[in-house]
Amino acid sequence: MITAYAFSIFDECVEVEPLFGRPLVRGCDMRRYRSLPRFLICSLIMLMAAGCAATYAPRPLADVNVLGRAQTISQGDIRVTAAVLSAEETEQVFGFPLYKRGIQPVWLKIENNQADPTWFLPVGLDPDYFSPLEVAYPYHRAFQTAYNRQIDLYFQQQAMGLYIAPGAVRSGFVFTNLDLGTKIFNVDLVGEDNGPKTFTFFITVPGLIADHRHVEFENLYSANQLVTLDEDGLRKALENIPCCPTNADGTEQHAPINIVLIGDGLDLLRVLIRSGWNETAAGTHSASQPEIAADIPNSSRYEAIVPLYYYGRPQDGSFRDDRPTGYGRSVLRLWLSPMRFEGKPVWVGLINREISQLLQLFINQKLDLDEVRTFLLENLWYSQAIARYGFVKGAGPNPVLQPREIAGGIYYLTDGYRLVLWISKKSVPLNEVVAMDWEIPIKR
Amino acid sequence: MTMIPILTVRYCNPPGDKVHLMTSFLPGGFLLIAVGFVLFILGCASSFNPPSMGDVAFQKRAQTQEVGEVRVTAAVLSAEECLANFGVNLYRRNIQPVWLEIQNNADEAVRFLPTGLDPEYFTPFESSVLSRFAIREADHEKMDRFFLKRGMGNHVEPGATISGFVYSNLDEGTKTFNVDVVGVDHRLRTFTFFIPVPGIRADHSQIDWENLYPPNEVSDYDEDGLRKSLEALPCCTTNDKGTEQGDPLNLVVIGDLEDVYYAFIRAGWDETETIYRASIFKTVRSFLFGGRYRYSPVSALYVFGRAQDVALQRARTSIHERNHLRLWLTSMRFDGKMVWIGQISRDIGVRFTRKTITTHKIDPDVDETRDFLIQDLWYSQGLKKFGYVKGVGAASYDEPRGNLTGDPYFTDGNRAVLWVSSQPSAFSDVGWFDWEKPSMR
Repeated sequence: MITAYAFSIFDECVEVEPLFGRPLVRGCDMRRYRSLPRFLICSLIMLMAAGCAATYAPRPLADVNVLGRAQTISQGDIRVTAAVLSAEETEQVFGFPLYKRGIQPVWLKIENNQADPTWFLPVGLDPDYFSPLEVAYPYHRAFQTAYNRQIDLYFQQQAMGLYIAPGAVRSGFVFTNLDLGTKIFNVDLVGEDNGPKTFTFFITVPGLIADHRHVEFENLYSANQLVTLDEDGLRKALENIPCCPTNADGTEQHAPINIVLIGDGLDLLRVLIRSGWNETAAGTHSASQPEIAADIPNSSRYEAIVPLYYYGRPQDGSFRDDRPTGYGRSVLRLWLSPMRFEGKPVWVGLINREISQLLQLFINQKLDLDEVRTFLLENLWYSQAIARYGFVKGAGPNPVLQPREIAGGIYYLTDGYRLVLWISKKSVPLNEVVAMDWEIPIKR
Repeated sequence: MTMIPILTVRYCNPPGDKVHLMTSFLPGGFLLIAVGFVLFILGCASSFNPPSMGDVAFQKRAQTQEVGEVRVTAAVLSAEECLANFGVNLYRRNIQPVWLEIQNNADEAVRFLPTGLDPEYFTPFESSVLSRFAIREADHEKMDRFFLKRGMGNHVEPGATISGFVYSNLDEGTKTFNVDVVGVDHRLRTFTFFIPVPGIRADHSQIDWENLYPPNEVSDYDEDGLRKSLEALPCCTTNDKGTEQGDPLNLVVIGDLEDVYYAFIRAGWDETETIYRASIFKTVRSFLFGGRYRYSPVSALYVFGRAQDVALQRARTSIHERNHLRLWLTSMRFDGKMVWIGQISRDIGVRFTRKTITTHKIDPDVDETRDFLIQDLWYSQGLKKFGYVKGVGAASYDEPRGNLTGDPYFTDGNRAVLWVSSQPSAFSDVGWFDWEKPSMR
């Protein structure tokens, strides 16, 4: 044991091999301890501390295979490459389980082939990003100055710089707030003219396999099942689709289909995530995929949604958005329909709000489905994601005086209209959204 | 179990702060079940009897704005007014009703978008359900309808006026929000409100701004003069006696009180309470039980022989991690605007000290925090022009300087100069003081 301690002292006090040209450990330089008593005290403290200490041995990025997954976007003479580390990769590169603290490192490489310098603005990537020393501090140990210094320096050196000189390449990490599923972020650069350049990334984070990834969308319908519709045809068809999703054996009806989205699947996914919706784990496929690690803060954001059945199958994709103050969550379930409009797939769905388990104890809960429907309309409107919207008739009204009961003692009320939204890949300014001249819901 | 009777009594009586402490102590769910259960057993749940909307004092405080033919009036209810107007304590549930009146004198219908006011607003039913634990079950239906009826509509016909409440998330101090109204004519009209909410004691409200400097000490500077004077200001804050140096004065803010206030609040910064009984209680509670007290008092640092005039903070989810900044008004004026010297640091955890027992550990890389602030204001369109000026003196990573609690920091020695604006300024229109070189970190 004594030998082991002696080696620990040795480890703590000798300069560690430099990673980037600067020695990593200088905190216990023997020249500082001029007198024997001081040296002995120092040694004693170190023996106590080192007894329960392992040395800090992270593996720099080159040793961890994430660069194969990196995505690159070029704009003019600037190239930006980005990758998001998974929980395991984060632990390898930084030596600590940062995911458990809700921190997710994003690796960036910025190549500036312009004649002018440019600056990277991390606030554009995540307005609440963590500074490197803020990430390192909780892992500091009492009385281990050298060790603490070593991790501080490592985090500092791994962090992404802000200034990229003409012709230079810089790379490093930004410590962001954790997202699972698909992470969407901007890399914003400004030049000397203060004009911004924005690079938008959509990166799938390993770890959560969202429910829609289990669906073979290509094989849902054969070519002769697909129906192409014009505007009038679409309106009629949407008025006449079956009212409501059901449980697995079709014996219980749920709240009615109240949402129709028109757009390509990938555009729709990106729009929903950009608007703050979370993908969810596949409840029905749980045997074939790992659980979401429960020790990740707010991992419930991605929990599976109870399946409802429409077109004879559970939803193709479900998304959730947690409400403030633990009220519950907004839940959006979508099914791909066989309808096509202007070459785009038509998705039908149900948006409702699930009340937290606690509140379910109080019977006689009312849910204003139209309010939730309006929430989605405005949510996508403010994300500049819709080009057109309109209302069509649907299942018929359930007004305040005659709310309809669904499972769990929850009553809903609705005017019965379905909201139709045209998803736009390009941003649409708030005032350029077109309202279709179809039905007009009861004015509220 | 011994706790439950205490809670019950508190809920039956006019609610006091003690219940709030307990809600932090237990997971919310269990506590509410317990309270609900005991209320049910003892039958002490009260009835729901809100007053009618006749005599409402808050409307007298309301602010009105007009854009084109649309007129919007807004008021924010205080905790007491919630109790008086809704019969329940909505603030406890983090709900703050904003009263709006929209008058449409245009020829076309307009639509109000509540998401622009608060993207996570509560619906009327949510607000009713969340706040009715102390109300007897027989009145729940009545309460639902009451909240629904008082909710704000969306659609305003030509010539019509609608009014009602948007149930927003709670902000104390000053609440800033937009009322976005979009017309069938595709015109977007945005009304930005800054409304003081009665309830907290902000530090700056006690400053006598007029008499901080006698008029003959106040002087205007041109750009060169300003640069020289800023370089000559002290490097660092001090203790109250001025005998020890503390955190570096790494900020200069140019702007009148209103500009500073609006720019920072729009960027998500919160005001700071003075130290008094309630604020100490809230700080201790937040320290012990977690949670975020967004308006927590801060310690005094000294410049010009006085403690900071204004302190602002931007909180993460825990009290231990937040950004702090303190500002002192100088006697300088630039372009007719006030000039402030200040200090910004990022709290990254708690550590023990000999002097104060515990203190917040600051991020030693103070330049990182300083550059964060530039971006923060830039993105929230609160920045008109920025640059860097000398005056702090460099300290390297290997030979850091220390603040008053012995926390080390290192810096390139520059202060950020931020000319802030109460009016939003577009991202690419932000100007640059061509003084020191921009940060090359």
